[in-house]
Amino acid sequence: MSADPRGDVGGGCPSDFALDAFELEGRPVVHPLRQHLAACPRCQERMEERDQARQVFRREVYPLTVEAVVAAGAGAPAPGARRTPWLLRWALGGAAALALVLVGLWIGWPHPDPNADGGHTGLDGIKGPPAIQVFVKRGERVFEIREGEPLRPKDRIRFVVSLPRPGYLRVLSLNGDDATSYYPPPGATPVRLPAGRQELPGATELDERAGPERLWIVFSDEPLAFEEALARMRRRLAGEGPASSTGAESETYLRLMEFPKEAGAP
Amino acid sequence: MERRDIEQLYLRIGPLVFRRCLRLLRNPESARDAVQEVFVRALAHASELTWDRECLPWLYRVATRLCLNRLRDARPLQFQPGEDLPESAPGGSLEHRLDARSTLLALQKEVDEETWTVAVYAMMDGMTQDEIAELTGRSRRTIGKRLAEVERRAAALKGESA
Repeated sequence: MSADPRGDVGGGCPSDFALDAFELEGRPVVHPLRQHLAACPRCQERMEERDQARQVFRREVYPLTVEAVVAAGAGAPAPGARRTPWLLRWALGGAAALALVLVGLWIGWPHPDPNADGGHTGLDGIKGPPAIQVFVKRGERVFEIREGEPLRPKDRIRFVVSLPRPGYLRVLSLNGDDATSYYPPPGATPVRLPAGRQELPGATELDERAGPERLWIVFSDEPLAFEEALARMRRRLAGEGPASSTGAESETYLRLMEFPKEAGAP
Repeated sequence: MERRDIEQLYLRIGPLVFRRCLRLLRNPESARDAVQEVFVRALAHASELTWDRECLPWLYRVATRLCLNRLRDARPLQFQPGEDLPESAPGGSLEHRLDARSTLLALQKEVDEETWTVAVYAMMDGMTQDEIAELTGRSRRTIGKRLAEVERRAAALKGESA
């Protein structure tokens, strides 16, 4: 550790916090930071990096997150306006309803036959299976949960996937007649995920119901509407043949795993 | 709030929050998730925020707390070897930054949450004591004491690992 607990900056350079404030002020022409920024090559690079990061945000973050943000702000007062108490209550109630979530399970994928097609799965041309992990936060403890291990009400679960190629992913839950989409959130449009290991955005809080829960993963080259993915799920549960009935077997994985969920308080 | 207002706010302020989250989480997907959550929380407090320079401490506090909680909870995910190298920090050598980061990770177990947050502001963000005081709502004197404690604990850790 440096003897100077300020650590990184040094040399009189402003912190990121100061630069963020400068940006929120609209980078005014007359500002105490101007003189330093004009004279410091390192901070000039930092400002360029900030411009690049803004482009990255516009290109890679904004399109994937703006709908959830807009939905959250639907009941918020306009900038500069005052919000009435009933509207606040309404907005909070809406957020709570949106946060209502479901059940969670550990999902596995069909293991490919290593002798088939030179190591291909034979299902969709993927060499090697996509991998999915589920992490549970129970109280203050976070751990990976595996098949057969029980979940508890109020567990919060989060998915990490490793995809061998870009594609569209859906995580669906089916409990009796109730079905919902863990990922993407209900009503959201599926987004094309890149190959590689990645966390799926958002965590899911399990409900209070006990008993086995079923979760499905649908991984495809083309986006599937929730209803279509759900229909395939139901056909599979009814024992009506292959995972997909649309001739798209070569593009879709479906896999069900059941997990016990214990009753009672977490 | 109208959709257009929200989009404009998000485009204007979102990049700052995203950079903050990425700096702490070192994972673009996690940072993307975090910036969304920070804004969802911010919009729930829209009547209290001015959406200008004055809202920056609030955004920093929420983003920092959220990201640090995630680092704490998901360390097996976030701190895989080779994945937690600092990105371009505002200064200092790579060795120094690596040293600061490893020290911070070790300190997390040694100090309370507030002190650790102060340490992150100082060691990772290079904030001044005045800035940390503004963010935390503590006096500069209190921040100085916290940082002194961080110094002592870090020195002790160094001694143990030497």
